[in-house]
Amino acid sequence: MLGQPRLQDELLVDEILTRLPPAAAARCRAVCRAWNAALTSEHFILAHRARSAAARHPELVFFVPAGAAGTTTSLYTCTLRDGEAPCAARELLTVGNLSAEHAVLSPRPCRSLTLIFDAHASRAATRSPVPMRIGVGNYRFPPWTPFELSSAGLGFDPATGERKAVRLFKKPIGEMACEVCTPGGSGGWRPCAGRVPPPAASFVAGLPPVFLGGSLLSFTGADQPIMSFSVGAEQFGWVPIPLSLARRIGDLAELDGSLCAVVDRRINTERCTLFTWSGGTGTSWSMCCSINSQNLPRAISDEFVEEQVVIPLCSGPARLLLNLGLHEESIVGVHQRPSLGPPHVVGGKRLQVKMGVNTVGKRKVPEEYRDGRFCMLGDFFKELTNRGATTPFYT
Amino acid sequence: MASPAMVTLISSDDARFEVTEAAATMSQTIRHMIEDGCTDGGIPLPNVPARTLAKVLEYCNKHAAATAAESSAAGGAAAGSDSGSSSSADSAGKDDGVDLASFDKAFVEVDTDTLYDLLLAANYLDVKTLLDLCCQKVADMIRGKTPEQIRQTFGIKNDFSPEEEEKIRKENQWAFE
Repeated sequence: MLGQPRLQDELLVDEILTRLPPAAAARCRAVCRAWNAALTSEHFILAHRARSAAARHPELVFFVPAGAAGTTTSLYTCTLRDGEAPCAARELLTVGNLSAEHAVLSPRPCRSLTLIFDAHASRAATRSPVPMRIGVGNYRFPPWTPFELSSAGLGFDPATGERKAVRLFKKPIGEMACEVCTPGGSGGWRPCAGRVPPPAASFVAGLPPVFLGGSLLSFTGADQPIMSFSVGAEQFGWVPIPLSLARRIGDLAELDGSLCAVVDRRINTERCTLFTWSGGTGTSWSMCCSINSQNLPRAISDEFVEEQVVIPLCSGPARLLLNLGLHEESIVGVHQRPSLGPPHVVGGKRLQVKMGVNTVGKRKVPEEYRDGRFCMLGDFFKELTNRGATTPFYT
Repeated sequence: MASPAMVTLISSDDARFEVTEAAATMSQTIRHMIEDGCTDGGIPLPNVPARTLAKVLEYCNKHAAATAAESSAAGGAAAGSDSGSSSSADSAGKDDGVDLASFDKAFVEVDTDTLYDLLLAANYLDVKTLLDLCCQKVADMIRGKTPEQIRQTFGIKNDFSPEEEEKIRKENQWAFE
């Protein structure tokens, strides 16, 4: 064992430490130098992610406005176990001076940190600019009031071993700007090294970009290609995508390690389709799932109304978890059986959550009802499990 | 059918263990040795002392027997379940499953040294389910502990300077709350 001669490092790191939940793994960094090095290595991160993915116990971080004044926000985490009632959501911390109404969480933790930011730093509601916060109460960025909607993401540069927060926003004169800040560093925000592409329509979507393969990938609006920003070199680029698909994309997400485009045709065809990108330089996108809202059980199809944004969260061999919502957000389990071709859909409401009024806060901005009559998480999971056992639906 | 095929295993301290082939081949290492025909006069396991081997074989016997009972109970219906491919503790809730789960739980309720010995032996012998069991047990021992307690339990020396340790704790403050 590292610092303990009897266990080889690979056994300790690959077989034991990868089984730890993220918080325990982070605590273990303080054990000794060897553990710290092992737990922060790229190898460990990938192995840990692979094991969690294999165990299909995705962890969600979501938040809830705590104070009546709406200026504090509590963050919770909850582990989703396929087919099991969830463990109770665990409170992580409460952040002051952050209104859940406009707060946005980065889609996935990046090396155990989640970026929380106010996408619409309010100019009127609070006199002082709302700072960006990162991690779970870890870092505070220098205060900043964007002129308009901004988008921010968190990425990791394996070459330097640093995380970088990247923000993209419109300057008052209409130009786009991109700035970078290293959490925990002393430098503050600085312009990124690369040249920012010329402004395009709805350039800043407000949605957090997806961090995949060393780049932050953002959706830049309908008809636009997908923009990539390499976190190491700080250069902009574009993800190859057929124009016909680019035109139809509604949102981008990460689904099980791949970039996933949501094509929302519920208005025309009652269908919502997910495409995933093979990565690399190819323009190979393939359909991974198509959900026909007409074939969904009533309880889900009611949630699956057109105004609600659909974001996939993760999939297992038999289930796809979707995050639905704009104002009322909920997470829906969709079963798919690969052998049947089209997914077959079973499920119930997973997580009843409420969204802020601002559309930029689309992603995982839930509010747990305080009223006990609603949505105890456990009940919904039970309901889902029961349905899963009895009611198959086919698209 | 005749009585089950037996093989002889020889521990590092030259103790001999007679076990069924079904139990022995839960170890991929032994399975390969048998397939290669290196069984004459017993299979030497120079990395595993008798005390540990006995414990590993207790595990293998129990699991091999459970697998056998299960496949005979299932009869021809579930012909697909070849031995070892599915972890029998997971298979559809029978008494056996419950029994095995509690067996497994009790099996790793041992002192840290024994647990290490088992873990190393499971790794060397390549008994996947036992390795998983031991590693999960060690991980469970780690997860609820503070860094000090982990150092104590595993005999690890703290080689951080106070400033370095403070920095790491600060960076990971959320995990300590």
